[in-house]
Amino acid sequence: MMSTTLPTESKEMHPYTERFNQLEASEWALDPSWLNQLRRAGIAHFAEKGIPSIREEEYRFTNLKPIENQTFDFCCGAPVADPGVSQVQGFCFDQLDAYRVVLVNGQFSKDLSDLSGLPEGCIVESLNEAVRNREDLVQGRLGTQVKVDQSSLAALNTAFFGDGLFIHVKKNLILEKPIQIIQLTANGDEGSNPVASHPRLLAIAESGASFSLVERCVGDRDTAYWVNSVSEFFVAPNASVEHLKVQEESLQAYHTAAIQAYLEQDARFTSHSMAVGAGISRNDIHSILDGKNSEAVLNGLYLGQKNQLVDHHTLMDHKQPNCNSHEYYHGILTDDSRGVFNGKIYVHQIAQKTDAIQNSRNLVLSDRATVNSKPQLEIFADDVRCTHGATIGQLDEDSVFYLRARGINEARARRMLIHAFASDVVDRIPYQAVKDYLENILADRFDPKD
Amino acid sequence: MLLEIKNLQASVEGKQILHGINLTINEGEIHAIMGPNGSGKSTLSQVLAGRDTYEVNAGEVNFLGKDLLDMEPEERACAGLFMAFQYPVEIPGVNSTYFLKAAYNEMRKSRGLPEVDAMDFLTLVKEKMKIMELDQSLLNRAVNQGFSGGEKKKNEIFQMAVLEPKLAILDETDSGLDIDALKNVSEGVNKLKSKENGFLLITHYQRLLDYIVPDFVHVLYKGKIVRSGTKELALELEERGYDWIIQEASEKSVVA
Ligand SMILES: Nc1ncnc2c1ncn2[C@@H]1O[C@H](COP(=O)(O)OP(=O)(O)OP(=O)(O)O)[C@@H](O)[C@H]1O
Ligand SMILES: [Mg+2]
Repeated sequence: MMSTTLPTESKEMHPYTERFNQLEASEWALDPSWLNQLRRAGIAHFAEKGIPSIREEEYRFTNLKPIENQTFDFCCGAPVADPGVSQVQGFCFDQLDAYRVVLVNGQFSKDLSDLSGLPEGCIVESLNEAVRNREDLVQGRLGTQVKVDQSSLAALNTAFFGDGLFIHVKKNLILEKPIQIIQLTANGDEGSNPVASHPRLLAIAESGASFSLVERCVGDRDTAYWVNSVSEFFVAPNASVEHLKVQEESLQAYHTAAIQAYLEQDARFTSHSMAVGAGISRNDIHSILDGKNSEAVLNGLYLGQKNQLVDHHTLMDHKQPNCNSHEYYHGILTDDSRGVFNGKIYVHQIAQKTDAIQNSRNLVLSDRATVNSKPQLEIFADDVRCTHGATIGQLDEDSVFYLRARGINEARARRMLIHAFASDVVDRIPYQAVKDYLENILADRFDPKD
Repeated sequence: MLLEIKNLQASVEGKQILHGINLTINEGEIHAIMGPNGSGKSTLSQVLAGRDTYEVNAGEVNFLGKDLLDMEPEERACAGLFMAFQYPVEIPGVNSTYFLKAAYNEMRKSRGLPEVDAMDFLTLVKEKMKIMELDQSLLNRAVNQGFSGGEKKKNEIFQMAVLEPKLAILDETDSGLDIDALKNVSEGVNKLKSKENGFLLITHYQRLLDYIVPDFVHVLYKGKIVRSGTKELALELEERGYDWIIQEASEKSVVA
């Protein structure tokens, strides 16, 4: 499956740069100059750094060579394939009462989306359109949270995102129903290179506003492709944003994502990262607590099987006093899979009365599976409550025996305990439809087939 | 005959704990086992329940005509063996009612009976809870999670009342119970007691035996039953302690 055309190490132009130059001269020629400057900063940064290597501390356990070695078709214009409404509906959570947004290879699809009933004051549209028509809302925000110098992958996204999703909820508007976002990646015709798509999300909650996103990342089963997304959230005073992401890419696919939320006073951000698919996945999830009394909650569940590598790097950046951050990450690893969790909590000197909790637990169910879990605390304030715990282990045999001693067979006892372990995170999800769906994934994966 | 243990020897991590236990329990009988700390009482109950951290080195155990040592723990439970743990574990994330219903239905399945639905099970549970005077809210929580010491013990007996075993082994269920709870537990046992089933009570205190009168009392010392008697033996132990029995036992073993 791997292509042999390696990007050359010499001074020759990187194929990505070449592609960038083409796009800049054609498709993007009429785009606002600030946007093209941002893109150019992206490609310049990427050209300098390239795909992160394991020599970098942040990627020590996550080898992205397979991405580097693969030749991708960058997808920045029109979608290469039209999946059709019926396929898209198959990807929606049944029973979830939600607005629907569909992005195919990062391109907003109006035809496949269903935004009927969206209240006034709530904008959900193509990012491309927003860039042209709502410059006042987009410029000065886009690319200011996930900056190009943060990582070369984010830089690459910034260089190539052709489109994406723009969400804006006006002051004091509380969106009752969640917005379901289907991020679908579709490869081109047989024989073509795997697709690389760079979805981009910009979401803004004005003061006192509130909304929830339920994002589902899917793609052609059993094919290789690469999704490299960037999501930026702006959460104004008193606003509240929830982002639930269920990543179910093909097991041959690569999924890299940078998610960052910027919180002002009394704002709240909740992220649920459910990582199930992809051969290699990497999520950088950052909360910037830059207003007093703001609160960030990061929940995560990752399931590794076969040769999967699932990496989460989180940051709770406490920049103001009296902020709370809570983090619960659970991983279940089987076969030869690997889990990586790095949870950084940075407490600035002025951020007194910070209350930070981090909890990372891993269940390793095969002796070939591995986990690297690391809390990383950098605390420069003195009046801080910061608790963290990390465990890596097997199922508790005393519990297994207790269940068996009451007549429950061993396989079922183990399964009950695996579900219990996952439910600690799954139960924090407010949508029954999604909870049920995840329960089914767990059942599929861990219940004996009989 | 319910249970027949012959020359049972068992060890843990290479250290022999049980040095040849012989014990027979018939239908309708209540046996009590007493003995100093560390004498092997819990080891015996864990071995009977099938905990695989204990290695059986010799002996036979027959339970209702079957070779108990050849059965998986869940098979033993389904066949009617119940062991109330000395230290019940907390199992976060597993709901008490869900767990007990699963256990109950596994047992029914093994006997060729249809599973009960949630409604019928709830009716059964409510009835059994009354006996134990167990707070019903506990059933909405995870198994034993955050239960007080006494609540955990009562929960064990509540489970026993629901599962209605043929043979129940209660490993120090009375330890840590207040007087009312002790009465509830005893009542639970006395209600379940019949001509068909049997009990093995492991206890340090005569007090429990005031409420549940045993037919036989055994003293376990260093992995052996060194003396057996009737309920008067328990009274004598209460008064005189174990020293005299230990002394007699060691004299015997010197002679032998
Ligand atoms: N898992 C184990 N590993 C090592 N030693 C053990 C283990 N389990 C039991 N033992 C040892 O076996 C001996 C018997 O223990 P057991 O728990 O059976 O005693 P007991 O009679 O139930 O005591 P108590 O009255 O204190 O409950 C003790 O010396 C104990 O330390
Ligand atoms: Mg004991």
